[in-house]
Amino acid sequence: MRRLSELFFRLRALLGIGKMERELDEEVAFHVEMETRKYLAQGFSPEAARAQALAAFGPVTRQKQTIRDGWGIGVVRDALHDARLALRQLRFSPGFTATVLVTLALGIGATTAIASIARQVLLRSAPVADPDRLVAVYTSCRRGDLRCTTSYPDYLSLQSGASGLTDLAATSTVPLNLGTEETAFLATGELVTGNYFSLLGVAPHLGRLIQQGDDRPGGANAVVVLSYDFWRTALGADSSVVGRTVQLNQVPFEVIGIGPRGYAGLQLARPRDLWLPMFSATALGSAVGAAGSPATYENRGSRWAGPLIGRLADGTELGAAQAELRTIGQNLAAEYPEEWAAADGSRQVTVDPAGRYILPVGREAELRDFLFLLLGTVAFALLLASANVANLLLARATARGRELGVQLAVGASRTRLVRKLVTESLVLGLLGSAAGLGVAALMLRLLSSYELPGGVAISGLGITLDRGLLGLAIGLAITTSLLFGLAPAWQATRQDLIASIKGGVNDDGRGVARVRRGLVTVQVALCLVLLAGSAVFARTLRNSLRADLGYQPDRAAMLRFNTSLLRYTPEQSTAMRAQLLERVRALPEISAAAIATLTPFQGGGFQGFFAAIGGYAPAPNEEIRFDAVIVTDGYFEALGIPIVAGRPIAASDGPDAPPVAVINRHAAELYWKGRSPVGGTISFGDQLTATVVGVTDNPTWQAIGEDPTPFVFLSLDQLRDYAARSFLTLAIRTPGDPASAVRSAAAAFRQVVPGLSPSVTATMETQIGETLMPQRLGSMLLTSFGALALVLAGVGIYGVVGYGVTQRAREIGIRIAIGASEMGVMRSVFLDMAGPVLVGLALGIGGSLALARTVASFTYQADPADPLALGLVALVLLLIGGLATLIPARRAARIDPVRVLSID
Amino acid sequence: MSRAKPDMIKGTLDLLVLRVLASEPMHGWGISERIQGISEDALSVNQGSLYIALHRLTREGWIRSFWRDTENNRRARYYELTRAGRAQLAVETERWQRLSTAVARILETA
Repeated sequence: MRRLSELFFRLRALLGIGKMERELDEEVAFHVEMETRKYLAQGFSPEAARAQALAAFGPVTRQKQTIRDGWGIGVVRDALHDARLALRQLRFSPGFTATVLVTLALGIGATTAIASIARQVLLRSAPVADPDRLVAVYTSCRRGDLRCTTSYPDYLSLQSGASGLTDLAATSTVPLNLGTEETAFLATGELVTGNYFSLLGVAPHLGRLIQQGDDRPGGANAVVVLSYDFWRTALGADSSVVGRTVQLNQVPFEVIGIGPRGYAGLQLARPRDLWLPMFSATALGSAVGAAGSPATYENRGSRWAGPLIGRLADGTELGAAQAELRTIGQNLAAEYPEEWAAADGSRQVTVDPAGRYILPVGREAELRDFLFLLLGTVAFALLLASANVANLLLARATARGRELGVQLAVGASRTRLVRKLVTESLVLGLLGSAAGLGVAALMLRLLSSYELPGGVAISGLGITLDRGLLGLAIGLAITTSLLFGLAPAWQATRQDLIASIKGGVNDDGRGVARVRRGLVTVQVALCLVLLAGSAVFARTLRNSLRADLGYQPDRAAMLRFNTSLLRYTPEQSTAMRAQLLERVRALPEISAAAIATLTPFQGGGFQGFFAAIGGYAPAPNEEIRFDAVIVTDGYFEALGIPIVAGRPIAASDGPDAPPVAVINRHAAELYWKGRSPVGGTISFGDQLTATVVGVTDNPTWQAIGEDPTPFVFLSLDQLRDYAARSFLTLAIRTPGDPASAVRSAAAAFRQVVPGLSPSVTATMETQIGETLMPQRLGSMLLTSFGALALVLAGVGIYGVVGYGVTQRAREIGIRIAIGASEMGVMRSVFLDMAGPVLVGLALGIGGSLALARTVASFTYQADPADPLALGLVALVLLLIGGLATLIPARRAARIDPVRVLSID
Repeated sequence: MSRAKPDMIKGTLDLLVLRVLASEPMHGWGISERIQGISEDALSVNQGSLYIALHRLTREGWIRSFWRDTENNRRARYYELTRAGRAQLAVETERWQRLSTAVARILETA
C-alpha cells in the first residue's frame, strides 16, 4: 500500500516534473503572501513585512531542493546524465563500440529467434476454447506403435463409453484437389465428425462451421469449411467464396464458411486447408482412402481415423481420463479379440494433451531434441559473445585505468565511478538488445523457409516479434552487460592509484590478464564445439545427398503441372501428354522422359490403394495397402530406378492392352515370399486387376533412411480418366546439367500447353535437399556461428596478447637490452598464449565428445566423435590462434628498449 | 526571536500536522498558523520545514493534496488526511503519549 503510493508519487514526479515544480512555486508564493499580509496587518511596511515573511520561511531554495529530493527524481536525473555521458564516451571509441554491439546483437538476436521458435513449438496454445482441456486419443497398431489410427466403430465405442470426456470427435487427413472456376490447388483436407467444431468451441470467421446435422451416415451434406490462412493465401480473402461451389476431386462441395483466424487444425506439422463432414468422404470415393468406402464405417478392422479429439469433462483430470479410456480399450479387446490383437498381446488406447498442438506422431522426441540442439547452439553463441564482450570491456577498463585513477585521485567517489562504468555497460546492453531485436527479426525471416523435423514449417508457427520476445532480448542484454560490465568496473576502481597513474605493472593488472586469458580459454573451447558441430552437419548433408536412394537423382529433374486446370477431356489430355513427351524427348539435352502422378520427394500426395493379391491369403483383418504411382513408359529410365526382375512399363501398355503393374522388391518379398511375382495379379477393388510384369528396387520415396513400404506402379495410359484431372509430373533425365535441362523442358511445355505454367520445376537433388531441411538448418546455423566464433576467438586472442605485450613492454625491453634474440622474445609471447589456447582446445574436444550422443540422432553416416574431424577443427583453431598471436609477438620483438625504459 | 521557544522534537511535526488535518482540510499556511495559535506560540514551526514535512507525508500516502479557492478567492493547495493517515495518527498519538508519560514519570520520581 505504502509502496504503491510512493511508486505512484515518484512516477508522477517523473512524468509531471514541470507541473510539480510550478505547483511547488505557487504553494510557496501563496504562503509567503499570506504571511506578508499578516505582518502588514500588524503595521509593518510592505518591504519589512515581506522580509519578515521570507525570514520565517527559511532559505527557500534549499527547502525546495529538499522537497524535490524527496520526490525521488534526483536518481533518475543522475541516471539520465550518466547515460548521456556514456553515449558520448562510446562515440569516442567507435571501433570498440561497434565490435561490442555487433557481437551482442548477433548473440542476442540468434538466441531470441531460436527461443521464440522453441516457444511456439512447445508452449503455444491452439486458438480454441480452454485448450488445456483438449486431448488426442489414439489406438495402437498391431506392431505396437502406440499412436496409430482407429476404426470408426471403435471411435463410436470410445465416444459413448468415456464419461470423463464431454465429447470425442474423429478426424482423418486427406490430400485433395480443390478447383474453383479460375484455378486449382492441392489442399490438405481433414474429414471431421459433426461435433468437431462445437467440441473445439470456436467461432467461424465468416459463414458457419460444420455442425452435427451436416454429418449423417449415408447422407452427409457436401459442404466444406476453408481455413482462414488457406482462404487468404489461395483465394485472396475473397469473402464472396462463402456460398459458392468448389470442386473437390471433381465433386461439387458448397463452401459454408471460413474457419477461425489462426486455426489450421491441432497438428503442428501439416496445417489443414479445409474441413469436410466425415461422411461426405463417401462421395469422394477411394481417392480419400478407406474413408471413401461406405463399408468402412461398419468395419472394426479398418483403421484410418486419427487422431480422435476429445475434451475433458469438468472435474476430470487427464490421468483419470487416461485410465478410463484404457479400460474401455481393454474391454473392446476382450470383446473383439481379432480386431484388437497385437504383436504383443492386445492393442491399447493412448490419451495425450492436445491443446498445445499435437507434435508429429513418432517424431516428438526428435523434434524436441532438435530444438534443444538449436537452443544449445545459440546459447553457446551467446556465451561466446558474452565472453568476447567481457574481454573487450576488461581491455577497455584496463586501458582506461590511468584515466579512472586520475579521477579517483582528484576525489571522484568510487561509487560514482562504478556507477558510471555500469551505466556505460547498461547503455551498451540496451543498444545491443535493440540491434539484437533487428537481428532476431531478420533471422526469423531467413528461417521461415526452413522446416523442423517432422515436417513442421517454421513459417506456419505464427511467430511474431511480440512483447515476450522483446522482454527476452532486453533481459538477455541487461544480464549479459551487467554481468560483464560489473567485473571490469570493480576491477578498475580497485586498482592501485599511484601505480595506475604511473602506468606501471601492478598486481591488479596481472589479475585482469589472468581473467582475460581464462576468457580466451572459454572462447576457444566454445568455438571448437561449434565448429565440430558444423562439420558434423555439413558431412551429414553431403552423405545424405550421396546416399543410395535406389535410383540416381543426380541427372534427373521434374516439372509438375495441374491438368485439371485445362478442362480437357480424357482424349484431349492423352493427346497433350503424347505431344509433350514427343517434344521433350526430341530435345538434344534430354535422354529420357516420362509423365507420372508422382516422383520421389515431392512430399505427400500419395494414393493409398487397398489391394488383393492373387494367391495370397491375408490374415484376418490384414489390410494390403499399396502406395500407387501411375506412370508412362520411360519413367524408370528417367529416374534411374533399376528393374530387378521382369520389365518396366512400356509404351505398348496402352488402353487396349491387358492392365500391367510393376511392384517394388519390398512388396514382392511381403506377398510372394520367394516366388517370382512376375505373372501374378493385383486387384484394386473391382476397378482394376493388373498383371505384375516387373519388380523394381526399393526406391527411397519420402525420407532418407525410411523403411520401405509396398509400392505399385501402374500404366497411365490404362488409367486415363484418372490422369485427366490430376497433378502430373514430367520426369526427365539428362547427360548434362539437370537445371538447364528442366528449363528447356519447361519451354517445351509452354509450347505444347499455352496458358498453363508448370507449378513446380526442380532438379531431383533440390527436391531431396528440401526434405533435409532440419539438417540444412542445423548446418547453416552451426556454420555461421562457427565462423563467427572463429573470428571472435581470433579477435579475443589478439586483444589479450596485444595487451600482454603492452603490459610487459618494460620487461621485454630489459630482456632485449640484455641480449635476448627476436626469436626468443617471440617464443616467450607464444608460450604465454599456448596455455590458455591448448586448455581451451582440450575442453572443446571434451565438450564435443560429451555432446556427440545428443547430436547423433540428426546425423547420417557422420560420426560426431570422429577424431579426424575434431583434429582438423582443432588444427584450424590453432592456426587462427597462431596468426592472432603472431602480430603482437612481432611487435614485442621489435620493442626498442631505450624507448620503453625511459618512459617514466 | 525564537530563542525562548523550544525546538520541535524530531518527528513531532508529523504528528501535529496529522492531528491538525484530522479536523478539516487546510492549506500549508493555515496549518502553520493553527499550530502556532493552539500552542499559543510556544512551538515555533520552521515554515520551510513544514512544507518538507507536507511533501514527505504525501509521499508516504498519509495525506493527499488538492487545489481549491480560499475564502478570499486565492487558489491554494489544500491537504487532507487519507485513511492510512488516520491510522498513522492513532499510532503516532499513542507513541507520543507513551513517550510523554514516561518522561513525566522520570521527572517526578528521579
